Amino acid sequence: MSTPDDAGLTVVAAPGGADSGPVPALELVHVSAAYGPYRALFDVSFTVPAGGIVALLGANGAGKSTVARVVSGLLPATDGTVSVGGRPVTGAPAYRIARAGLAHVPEGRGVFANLSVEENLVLSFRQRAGAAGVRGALASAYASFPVLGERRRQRAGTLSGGQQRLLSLAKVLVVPPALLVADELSLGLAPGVVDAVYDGLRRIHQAGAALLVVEQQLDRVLEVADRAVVLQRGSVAFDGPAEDAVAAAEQVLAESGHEAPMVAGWADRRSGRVRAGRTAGNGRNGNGRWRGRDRRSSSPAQDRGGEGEVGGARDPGPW
Amino acid sequence: MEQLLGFAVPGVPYGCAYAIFAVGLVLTYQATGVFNFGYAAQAYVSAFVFGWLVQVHQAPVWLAFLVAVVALGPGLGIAMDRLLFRRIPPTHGLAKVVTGLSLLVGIPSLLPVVFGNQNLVGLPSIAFNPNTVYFHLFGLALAPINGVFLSSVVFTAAILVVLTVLLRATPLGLEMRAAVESRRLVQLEGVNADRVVSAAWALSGLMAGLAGVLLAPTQATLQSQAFLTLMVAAIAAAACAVLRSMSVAAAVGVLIGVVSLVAQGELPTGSVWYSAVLPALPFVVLFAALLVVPGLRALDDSRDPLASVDPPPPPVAASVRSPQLERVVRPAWWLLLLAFAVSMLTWMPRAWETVLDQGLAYGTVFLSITLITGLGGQLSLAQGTLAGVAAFTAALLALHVGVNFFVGALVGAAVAAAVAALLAVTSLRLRGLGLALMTLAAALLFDNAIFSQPALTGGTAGITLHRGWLGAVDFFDPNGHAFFVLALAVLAACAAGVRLVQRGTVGRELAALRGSEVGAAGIGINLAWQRVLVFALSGAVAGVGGALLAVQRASVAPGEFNYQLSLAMVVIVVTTGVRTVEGAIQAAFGFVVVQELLQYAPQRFSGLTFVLFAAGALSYAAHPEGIVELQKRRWTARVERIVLRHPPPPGALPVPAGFGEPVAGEQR
Repeated sequence: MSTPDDAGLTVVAAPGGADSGPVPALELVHVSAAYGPYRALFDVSFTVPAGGIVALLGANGAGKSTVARVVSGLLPATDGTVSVGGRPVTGAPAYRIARAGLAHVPEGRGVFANLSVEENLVLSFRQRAGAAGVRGALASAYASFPVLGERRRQRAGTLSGGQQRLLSLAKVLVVPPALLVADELSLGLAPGVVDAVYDGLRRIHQAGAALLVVEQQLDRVLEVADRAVVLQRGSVAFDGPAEDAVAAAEQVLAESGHEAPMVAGWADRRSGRVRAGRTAGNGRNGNGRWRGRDRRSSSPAQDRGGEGEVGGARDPGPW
Repeated sequence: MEQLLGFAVPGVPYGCAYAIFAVGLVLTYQATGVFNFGYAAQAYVSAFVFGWLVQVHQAPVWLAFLVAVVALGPGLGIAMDRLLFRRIPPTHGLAKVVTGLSLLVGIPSLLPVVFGNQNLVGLPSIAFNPNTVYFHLFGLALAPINGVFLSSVVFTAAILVVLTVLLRATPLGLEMRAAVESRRLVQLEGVNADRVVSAAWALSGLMAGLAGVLLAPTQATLQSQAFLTLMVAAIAAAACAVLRSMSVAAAVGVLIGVVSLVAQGELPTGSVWYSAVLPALPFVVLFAALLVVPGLRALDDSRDPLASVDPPPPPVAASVRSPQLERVVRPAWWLLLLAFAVSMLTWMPRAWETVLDQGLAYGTVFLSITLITGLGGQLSLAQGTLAGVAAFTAALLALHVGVNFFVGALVGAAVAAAVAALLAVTSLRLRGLGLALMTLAAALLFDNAIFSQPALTGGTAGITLHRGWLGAVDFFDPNGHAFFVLALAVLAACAAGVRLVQRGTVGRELAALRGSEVGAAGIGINLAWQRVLVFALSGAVAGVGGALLAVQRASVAPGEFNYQLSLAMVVIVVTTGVRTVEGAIQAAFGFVVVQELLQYAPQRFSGLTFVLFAAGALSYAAHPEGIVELQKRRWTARVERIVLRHPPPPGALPVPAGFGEPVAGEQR
């Protein structure tokens, strides 16, 4: 698609598919990022070729979501440059990057809980397809995902977790973006729905979209991906063809202390949520003291507790 | 019937005043996600500037309207967003409420500083002459329709229709509602969230300005107090609409107005219904709504799916201080305390001793806020009321039963604890904003139905304490130090008690609760019991402080313990530092010292105390741990970096490039 934008950014060129010119859809050069004082990415460089599919892999806490957030402008890079479609977007606000053709589907339930299903879709389609295209896009969304049509008047927050996930994916699968960044693509989806989502991915890929996919189901994503990037502790540990990625990922995980491949890392991360839970660091139990010098306790994943995690267990903030 | 109409018709404009505020509160909440306690202050500013232009500068009404409403209203809204609300982390509901409260407390005090003391009487109406009777409803002589009626009804209806359409049926309205949930997620859709949020605040500001100018002619003399009273009553209507439907809010507002005027006409004047229930009617409604409406139970649960992009809040300074520095800082505090006590007993001038005595008493009351907000993580807007309950109990016991005042104070503290526990039990299902509103309703109920009974509390003058009530020692002796010793001992005891609670099992369980209620329940912490316990403890401490304040003033008057005091106290303590015992004591001394220093300034600056603490909100919005805590952390880090050559603790300073080690990066 080619919407004009007010950011002065060229829309990523991906008309009609096969044009894989020299300009990559996404390029990260020596990117570092941090959450406040907690550093998360170190000198990350890789590219997503135009029209290509890249799988972003790594263990829990490796920095996959952070890469997605830096790319879409949610989190500013502290160092390095990010280019979308050949134009630097480092430091640009997220909405400009979005208007330049990047769609970021965040992990979990990326929907507006208090808006109805239809309002969620309209909000998205009005930006991506223009006011005139909203009606057609809605019809196409309801045709592809009938459950959304049945529940169009329902508040999105009252949908099941999988349905919410489906809603946030429907926004991008119906109107193909130039570059799709999907975080934890199939997490929480029923197997049948995963098939539908992968069909949708192939469709928008054929329509010319480049994809950067963060995924836990290695076999599924490596079926479609051309290349894979494996992150380890905030740095790139492997960048190469998808065929070699499984071996590389297993080696990386073995080095980080996990015995089994990804699947074990995945199970670990589920139990990690139960452990977590910020006990507001005002106890004098050493939590947070000289964190910068203590390698063991310096993982933000532990310090930050269960924020934004499963279901209702999210940190309600300081109330 | 005709008589009933005669009462009901004037009730409509009265109710429309509530309705306008209620609609404004709902609009602001829907469009910006903030329950804006500062709304009344915004309305007052526009009304004030409007009146000032018209009366002092003889500006034409249309020009004054343009300046005060069309320009100033949205301008103020945008300024509030840019300077304050935008900086608050999305999950920090408490900061949003306190920032609104600080505007409510600060802005009306700021106006005299800027414009001088103005007495604006009988402001003009922007449409329809207030006193002209246009026609009679159903041709009945008892139901005249005058300009006040017409303008309030016409404007309320017009505002309602325009806003409902804007919010529900336009792209901008949809974007506003989406941005309320998550500014980040709406950006991912390609929407310029900053612009949308600014538009929402501008709209809200415009409505506040319009409300102010519409309501100004109905007041004989323009006073911020009247706007505040209207707004707290309008909260009831907004709550009945679950802060969601503007039309329900407007309907309930009008209904409250009509019912109270009809009841005023019909109820026998001598009855308790007339003197106690009628003035408290809106607050009874608010209380009932909070009890039964399920939608109010989880009002400000942030649903932002991307909230985890924000870095976690920093730890308190004392917990990251290095042991070396600790060895210096602790003795320094003890030395300071010793120097303070010696000064007070020897050379301190009498006037300042009184001021600092007051600081000690306030410090005790403020400690109750440390307990409930700093430890319990809940905002209570009734701490002043609880202090008053104890003070009145002690005074009444001494007056009628002849009990020693200090014994009475202990009984009073127990009563305050019981009232607080009862409040906690009735609001067990509420959290955050809902709970804050519940405590506000309780404070207003006490103000309007109990403290206002002259038979009970001695009217506005209150009850004067007699020397004999306090036992053998003369605490009122203008040359003695008895009160100082007493107050210091009480404050020290309360501070030590709070510290013990903080460090003990209860403190740790409360910390777990603050982190995650679900998680805390999962490891077997009884949420309900913890809530009741922290409320009761806080009520008891507030009660002790209230009794101390009464002894210091030698009287107990209702005006000294009204809800506005509670609001001001919360702003003062929370913006200074609510998580530590030191924070509360520093807030108390800061408050009384600043207030005393301003006595030397010209009269127009007398309200500046509240402005200063409210201005603290500027720093507070971005650093919700409080100003004192922020500065302490900064200075600790600086000192440690220079003297001890330690790297700064996390969160203490902006991260210098290259700081930290390559560690496992991120949360998920």
